[in-house]
Parts: sequence; C-alpha cells; structure tokens
Amino acid sequence: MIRVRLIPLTLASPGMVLESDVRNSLGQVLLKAGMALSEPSISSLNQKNIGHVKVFQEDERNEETLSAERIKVTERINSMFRNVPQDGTMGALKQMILDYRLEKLSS
Amino acid sequence: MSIPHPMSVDKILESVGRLPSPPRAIVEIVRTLEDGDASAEVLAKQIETDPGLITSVLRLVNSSHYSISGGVPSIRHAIVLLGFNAIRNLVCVNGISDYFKQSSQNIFNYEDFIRHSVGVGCVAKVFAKSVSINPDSAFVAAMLHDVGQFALAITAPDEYRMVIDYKNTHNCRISDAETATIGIDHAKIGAHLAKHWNLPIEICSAIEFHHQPPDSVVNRAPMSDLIHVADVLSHAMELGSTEQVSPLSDNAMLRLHLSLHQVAISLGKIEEEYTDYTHMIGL
Repeated sequence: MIRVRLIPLTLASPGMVLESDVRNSLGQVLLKAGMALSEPSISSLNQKNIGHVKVFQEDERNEETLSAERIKVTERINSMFRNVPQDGTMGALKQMILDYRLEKLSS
Repeated sequence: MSIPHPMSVDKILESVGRLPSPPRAIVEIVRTLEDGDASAEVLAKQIETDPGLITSVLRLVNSSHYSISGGVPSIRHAIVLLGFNAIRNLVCVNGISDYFKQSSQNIFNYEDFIRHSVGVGCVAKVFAKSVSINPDSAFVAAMLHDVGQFALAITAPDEYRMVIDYKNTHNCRISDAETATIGIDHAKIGAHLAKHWNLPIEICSAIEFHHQPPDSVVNRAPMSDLIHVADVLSHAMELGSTEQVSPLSDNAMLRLHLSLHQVAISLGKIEEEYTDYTHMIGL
C-alpha cells in the first residue's frame, strides 16, 4: 500500500517521490510534485532551510507492527495526560490528540 | 551533611533580577509591536542599533531559504523584499532564541527550552488572528512565557536543582515543585523579570498567568488566555516538550471563542509551522 507522509527533510532519501510542490517561504516552487528526490536536490533543499517534504511512501508495516505502534502511542498519551481529569474538556482534548496521532500512523 | 535551605522569595527575585536583559534593540521592538504607527523606517533604525542583530538578519535573509537573486545588502532592502511583518517576526523569534543560547552559560539545556517556547509560539501564532491578537506579540509572549524557569536555573542553580529533584521525586508539574520548594513559581518569577525589563503589560500578564488565566467571564486579558491555551496544547502535542499536560481552562477557551473543533482542524498546520521555525533557528 502507498501512503502519503509529511517527513522531516532529515528522513528524506533519494528516490522518494514528492506528493506536493516544495515551496520556499515566498511561495516560489522549488521542486514540483511528482519529482523523485536525489542527493543533490535534498542537499539543495537543506541549504534552502526547507524543514519537511510530503512524499509517497510504500507502507512496509504489517498489521502486527502497526498494532504495536498504536499501543505505544496510546500509552504515551495516557502518560502525558496522567494528572488531568479524564472527562470533560481534558478528556475530549486527549481523545482528539489520540485520534490525530492514530490517523497519522495509519495514513 | 546539612540539609540545603533555599533562598527566601525576596532573595530569589533579587537574584533573577541580575539576569542580563535581552538586547536593547529586541526590547525596543517588542515594546513597539502594538504601535499602530510602527513603520518600516522605525524597525530598520531599531535593528541598525545592534550590529549583532544586523548580521543575524542579513545572514538569515541571504540564506538560500529566501532565494532572492542578487542578495540582500541592507536591513532596509530586507524589509522591502520580505515585508515588515516577516522581518519583525524573524528578528523577535531569532533574537530571543539567540539571547537564551548566549545566556545559558552551559548550565541549562537551552535547546529543549527553546523548542518548547517555539512550540507555544507556533500554536499561539496559528490562533492569534482568529482571536484578534497581533501574531508577533503572541509569538514574543510565547518565547518568553517560561523565562522565569530559565532565570531561576541561571541565577539560582542550587534552588533550581532542588526544584528538579522535587519534581522527579514527586512526579509532579514543575510549577507545583517550585511552589513547594521555593515558595514561588516560574510564572511569577518571569512576570517579575518582564516588568523589570519594561516589557508591555500584556506580555507580563501572559507570562504571569500562563498556568492559571484569571478566572472571570469577562475577556480582560486575551493574550494571557491565548498563551495559556498554547502552552497546554504544545505539551499535549509534545512540541519540544515531554512535560505532562496541565489542565486547560474552559473559561479561557470560552473567552477566546475557541472551540476544540477549531483546535482539531489546526493540528497539522501547527506541526508544519513548528518544523519550519525550529529549522529556521537551527534546532
């Protein structure tokens, strides 16, 4: 399965295909969607202080790995929210962050 | 071995007052953030009073990040090319971040501290316009919201160590550890310092009340509410922070007319801002 991921430039590697245009802070297009990244283009983006890129990525995780990651994320969020009420606004906020993280994990 | 005894609150406040203030040019720019008649000319003059600031602004705008052909020779050109607001924001965020780096004296982990401050800044910036607050002022208040913690670590390291030990032993929030060990928390210490530096009153209040915004229905201090909300969210989103989440004030959300739905649809945007800013200031 192919998924779209927003990854920090430090995790970008040659061959990854851009899902969307890479723009600088003035909105100018530096690299177009559909292009494959290369060593020179990654180092050029790095020099231009681009922090992240949106790329297509083959999802190599199996259901077992995904489920272990989901448990890890859930435990982490439970720990971060350990000293606040688990209902009302804080309960809703916790659920919102959990949904966001889990959706990111499976997208 | 004698049991360590912390300084009195008065002594602590006297001690943190010795922390060098941020560069005069930055303080001046922060003071004029809310001026309706702040102009490019005034901003250029403020930056040009500080050689360090000139160098750092020109270095940033000439980095290929901005891809400006021919280069940017002066501060005035930078303001024309990139815009008044962009340069002012860049000067404030970068200037305060540099100030923390330079004052940390290798005894404080400034990187995590700045990451968290920038995280709060990004959340505050994303919601500032929708709650009618100047995003630059909000970012500055966010960058300085924990300055009390920084000041305590630098000027009263023994007391700071006692706070951290207490926090680790009791598995509590840092402000509770501060109140229990030294009788005052970093929000009050920070506000004291910000007043000492003559920063605008809404920034001082935002620092003072970022854990507990005033509990009234009337919207008297929107900046305090915004920084409180941004602080809680940045912890919840773990933007440069591993500190446990504190309770979010329902009243602050109500006064800002901010809903959890608005927050939910902004999470991606906040994370993108955060990645960009941490990259810009080299973290």
